[in-house]
Amino acid sequence: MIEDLKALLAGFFTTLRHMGRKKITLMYPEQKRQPAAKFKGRHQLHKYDNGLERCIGCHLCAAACPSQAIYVGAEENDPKAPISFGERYAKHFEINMIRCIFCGFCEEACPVEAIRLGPEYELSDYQRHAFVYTKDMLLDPEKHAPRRQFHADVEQHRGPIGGKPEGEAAVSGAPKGHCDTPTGARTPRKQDL
Amino acid sequence: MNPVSNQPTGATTSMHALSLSTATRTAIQQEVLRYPHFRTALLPSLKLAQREIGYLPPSILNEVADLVGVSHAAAYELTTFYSMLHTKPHGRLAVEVCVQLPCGFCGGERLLKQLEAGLGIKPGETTQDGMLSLHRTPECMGGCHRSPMVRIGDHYVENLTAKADVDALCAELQAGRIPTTKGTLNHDCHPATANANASKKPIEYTPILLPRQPRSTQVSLAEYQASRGYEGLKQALQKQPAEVIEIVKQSNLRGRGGAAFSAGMKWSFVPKAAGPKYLVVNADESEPGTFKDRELMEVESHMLLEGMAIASYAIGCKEAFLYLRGEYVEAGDRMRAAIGEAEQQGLLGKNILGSGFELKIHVFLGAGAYICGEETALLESLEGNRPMPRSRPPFPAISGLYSKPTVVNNVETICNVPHILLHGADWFKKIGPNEKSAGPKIYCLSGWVNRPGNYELPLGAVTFRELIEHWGMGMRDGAKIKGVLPAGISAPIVPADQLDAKLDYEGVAGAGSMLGSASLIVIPEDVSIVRAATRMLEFFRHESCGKCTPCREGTQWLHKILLRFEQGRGEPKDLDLLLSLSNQISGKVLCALGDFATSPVTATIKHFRPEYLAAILNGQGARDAQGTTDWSQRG
Amino acid sequence: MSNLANPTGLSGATTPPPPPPQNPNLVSLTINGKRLTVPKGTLLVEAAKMAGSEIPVFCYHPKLKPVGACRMCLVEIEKNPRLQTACTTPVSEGMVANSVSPNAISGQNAVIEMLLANHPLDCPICDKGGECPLQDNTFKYGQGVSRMQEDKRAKDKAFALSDRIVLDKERCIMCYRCTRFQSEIVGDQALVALDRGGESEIGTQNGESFESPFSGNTIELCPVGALTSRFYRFRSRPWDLKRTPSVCSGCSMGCNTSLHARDGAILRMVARENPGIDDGWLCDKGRFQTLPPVTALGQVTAAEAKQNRPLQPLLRKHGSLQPTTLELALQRTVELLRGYTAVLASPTLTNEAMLALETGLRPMAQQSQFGFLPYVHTPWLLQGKIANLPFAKKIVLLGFDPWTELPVLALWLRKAAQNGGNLVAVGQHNGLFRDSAAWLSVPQDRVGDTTAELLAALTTGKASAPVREAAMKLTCDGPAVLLLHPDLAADASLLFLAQQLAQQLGANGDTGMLGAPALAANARGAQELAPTIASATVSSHGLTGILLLGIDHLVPQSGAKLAVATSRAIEPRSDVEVVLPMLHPYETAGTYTNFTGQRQALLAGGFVGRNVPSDQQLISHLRTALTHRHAGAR
Repeated sequence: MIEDLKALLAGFFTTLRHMGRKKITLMYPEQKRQPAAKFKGRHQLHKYDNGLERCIGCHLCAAACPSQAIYVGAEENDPKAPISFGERYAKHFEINMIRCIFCGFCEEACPVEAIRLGPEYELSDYQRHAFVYTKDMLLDPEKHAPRRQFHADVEQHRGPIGGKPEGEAAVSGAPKGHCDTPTGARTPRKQDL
Repeated sequence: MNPVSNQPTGATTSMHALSLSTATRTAIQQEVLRYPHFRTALLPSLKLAQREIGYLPPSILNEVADLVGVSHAAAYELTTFYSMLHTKPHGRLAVEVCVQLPCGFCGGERLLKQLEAGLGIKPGETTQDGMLSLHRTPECMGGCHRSPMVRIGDHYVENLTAKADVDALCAELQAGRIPTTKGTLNHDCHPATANANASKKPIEYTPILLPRQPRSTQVSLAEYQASRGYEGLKQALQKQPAEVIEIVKQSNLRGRGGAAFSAGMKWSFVPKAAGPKYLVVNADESEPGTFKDRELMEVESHMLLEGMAIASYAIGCKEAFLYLRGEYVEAGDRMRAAIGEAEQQGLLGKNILGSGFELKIHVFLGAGAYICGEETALLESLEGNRPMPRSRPPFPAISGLYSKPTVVNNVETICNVPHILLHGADWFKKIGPNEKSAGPKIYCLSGWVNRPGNYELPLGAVTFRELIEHWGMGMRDGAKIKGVLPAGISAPIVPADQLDAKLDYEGVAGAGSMLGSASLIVIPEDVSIVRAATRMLEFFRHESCGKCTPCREGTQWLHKILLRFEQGRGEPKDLDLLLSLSNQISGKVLCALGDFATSPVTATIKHFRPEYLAAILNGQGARDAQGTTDWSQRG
Repeated sequence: MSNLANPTGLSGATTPPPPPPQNPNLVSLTINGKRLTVPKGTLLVEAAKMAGSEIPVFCYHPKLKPVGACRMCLVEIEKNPRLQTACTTPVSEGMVANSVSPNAISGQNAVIEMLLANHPLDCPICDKGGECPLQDNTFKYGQGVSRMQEDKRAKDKAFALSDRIVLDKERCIMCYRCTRFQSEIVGDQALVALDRGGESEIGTQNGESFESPFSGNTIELCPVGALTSRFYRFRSRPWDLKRTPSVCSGCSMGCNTSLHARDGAILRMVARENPGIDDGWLCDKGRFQTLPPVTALGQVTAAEAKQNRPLQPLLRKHGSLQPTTLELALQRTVELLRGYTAVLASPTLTNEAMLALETGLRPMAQQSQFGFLPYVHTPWLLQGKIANLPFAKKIVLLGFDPWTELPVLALWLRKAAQNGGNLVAVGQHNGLFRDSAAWLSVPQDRVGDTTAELLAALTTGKASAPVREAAMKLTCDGPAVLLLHPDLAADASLLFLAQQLAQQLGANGDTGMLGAPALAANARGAQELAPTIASATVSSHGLTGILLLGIDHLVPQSGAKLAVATSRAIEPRSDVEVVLPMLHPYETAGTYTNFTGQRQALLAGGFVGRNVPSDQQLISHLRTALTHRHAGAR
């Protein structure tokens, strides 16, 4: 019987010992953990410093996605009001977040570092259709996404924010040429040689 | 990048000239009827139109295309390929200055600067009144022995060494005239007799190809006949064609255009079956440092015609073409006149010398493309197509012009033929120390020698050094030799310590190079080899036809890297890249241009690597021995 | 990323020579260590395929003359010091060729590196990505690293060559497939190579559009994303496409096609080679203009959204067309067909629909006139096979210009002309003028007289000089082809003359071709399966109601009320009462009969929803509705 009592007390003392120690439990939602730098959460589409979207509608993210969660519809840039840096931009861009497995292949596939998985993880909702995130929600979550999906104070760790497009301004606009009203094309790079 | 010029004879420079005159239209219609196939007339017709209008705007191109019977796009295709055809207006007098090797370091760049100052325009610009334009051309124009020189439309103005001559040229041009200054068209640097330095080893040889040197005026028919001219033809007509071929084969005459293939054997490949056969004489002579065919045609026109007649008889050809590079207008005019003379005397045309044999010769001028010197590209040009080489087989002897059996020979090769028929194969074989490479060769000596020019000597009779020192009278200002480019810019440079090699095919091969067309460019020690190599690659990049990938991309890539070196930007590992790229081009291309384009790179790196390394050290760039960064002080 | 598919070894130099073949028309050789026997004259690149080896190519195409321009197919051949291009080298007895030896591999690596030196890094924005031979060959035969550090060439990008083709000059690798196609196959040399060397590019005469009835084929020929379709631009990626075999509905050639759809929306149509019908080519009209409008969400362009292809039935209520149920729409249609009315059907309906029309619908609507628009009947049914055409030695076209009416047929006739056939065209238009031995250019109403003269020239010799000269070209031996325009065949005397002429030339269906070809897609099917309707002429005067079945456009306004069954957008004109959505032929499973009588299957290449009926289904619905009407009337 003494042994039983001893065992019981040992358990109580273990508990007591831990009562004084610092808790590692976070009192969510009042306290929230800062996600690690490599955390793969909600996607975001990024822009350059000059406001042009990085996404060029190339479909590579859709192709890489193992769950076919991404839909991309590309369109020609209007040279007077280009949306992306280049000939094409994504007119439609949707991710079905229920399908998404947050593997990050889309981020790896993207040649222009447009789509990146960020630190946001509070993505619950009540209706299935709410999980199809449209381009607005992905591009500008502050304005278009539910409030809990955007925290201004949480850092985006991976990849540059903004930045300059590489190389010269590429052609934008519908094909120019003999049979169209010329719509501004790029001046060929001066040959320095 | 496209040095272009043309001399319009019409007065108009108006941009609103929309259609051709009746005279030009008639001329084009005649041209269309002249050839076995109408499409051959496309290039001559475009040149006729450009002669009137000054350039070829879309409406004129369309009109020419309609007259000839091809699509509009086809006419445009040719116009954009050839350097001498322009789609945009140019100065009425367009002055083209050669800066390729050897002119570049023999005063060509200096001349360009002087003309810039004298005319008040930069290269590529036109004067306000649209009259004069100045152009820097990396193409060689066949005036290397009279450098520095310019071409203004159909006319060459050469030997512009003296400032007074340059000033006179500027004055004439500004008055709207093409000058006839003293430097034009004069041979003033030829040996009247054999070697000048008689104390050295004399050569017993009487020239047969250029026996009348230093003459530059044309030899008339009467003169030619007075020295047994056309007797070789008479001899040939008394034999069977197969006999004639055998004689030429026995003589061991090898092609003089560079490939050195047995001429008689090439003729024997032509099938004996009935049907049209063609002889095409390649007078496209565009290899820098080459000017022998020019002299042969300008002076010994009838020798060439006689040779063409014998060759045509041998292979059964009734219609022959003489394809000259577009710049050789003078030579073309003289050949036409000679044909007229010969036809009048029954030596060409129908029933030659009463034998029943007939021959019609077309004089056809190109429009500025080195690639037309490649035989299948030449045939494409004659057919009115974009002149890009064909894959072989089939070879031209089986399927050539218009897919018919065709023999393509160099001018110099054909000029040997009358002598072989006249004196016999054995006699020919004995010319020169080497029976296998028999006969005379015209060595085009140019560069930094005292007396550049055409030297006719037996093959293998002299070495590099002997030719330079005995006939060329040695180096200017007693300069030392850095190296010699033996076959224009297409063969590896032969450095100074190899110059005792014999000047025949085997001898030069033994020195690690090729004799080719025997166009020897002598480079002095103080000239930067990096600059020279860059200039040579500029030529190949400009002349590449663009058909096959390694040449099209490779010549441009090599040139870009060399330009960097010239400007002092590069790393030692770029030399490995240059060699690796050369390896990727050589042997993988469709025609020899690609292979040749790598010679300047591989040979100069092999023999002069330290110069490359010095160029990128501290970014100083390519400098001549005097420290100058360009050649505008030289010559 | 080194050569993934290139094993080293197998030099081939140690295999003993194969024994000589028995047949002098066969050649034995060794490729990559494998011995095989192939017909004499086979190109090495083709022989390699037979040996199971792939030799990479760009400029080589089986239907074009080989040029050896790209150098991608360089192989090592024993006893030859230089690498040779397999596409220009015919096999020879005892040849030992190797495309996997270290030398050959270094050649392949070299060419890829050179091609990529100035090729722009456009893959993400280039339409060809995913179906690009340059990408594929780079992976298989490239070294994986490019050493090009200089500035790349800059040229025009997204250059509109025509209203249907875009050219990106930087991507072009100068393989000349497009220019060779235009000069060898088509003959109009509408596209040429310009400039020289590294500055070379493809183009047309400055300022002119790339106009050729076959220009779309260059899109398929181009091995990179230099020539792309403006209609398809940026719409999809190849891996998202579902591919369905079908037949073109542009004309009665019956060219075989493949429909590519994304999410049910047909985005483009490409050729599906049938050596006996289309030889692998399509004409631009069929390729670009026969496609149904795109309606799938996310795919529609702004222009298309404005057009509104009907996907539900519409009924005019209160002055505008409002959505309704199929029942109500059918009811209204049936009402519309009372009295002096007509049913005009399109000859692009499938055979199944034709039969339903003739035997199902027509008996139930006896008071309505039935006919096809355009009129399809031909009194001289065509005999012969397309496969006969390249061997024809005498070809006569009477008032018929295949270049505009049956374009791919023109390519076959050009082939015949290049094989030594003599083509004599009688009529105002002759797109084959470059290949014609003679062209008697007369207006359509004089074709009859000229035909008579031509016949006379061949029989009695009494004719004017130009006709006699033309007749001279038709006196040789060999198979003959005679084609008469179906509109002219209505003239009985002309028809008789034409038939006489055909007999004179010895034209017959076994070796050649003769007849007046029906021109619309399934016109022959219409004539065979709906003969009464096909031969009927509908008088349009005074009609009170017209049902348009599958016709692309509205008939001129006349006072009749229209019921339109269509797969295209229509203008909501005031006389349109009912709109019935119908599947486009490309969304239908059915059959077509081409002008020679060959029946071919169409499969449904697109999907626009379960509620849109096919042509056959709609006719069946109409029949049912008419049955109810009769039942109700009793």
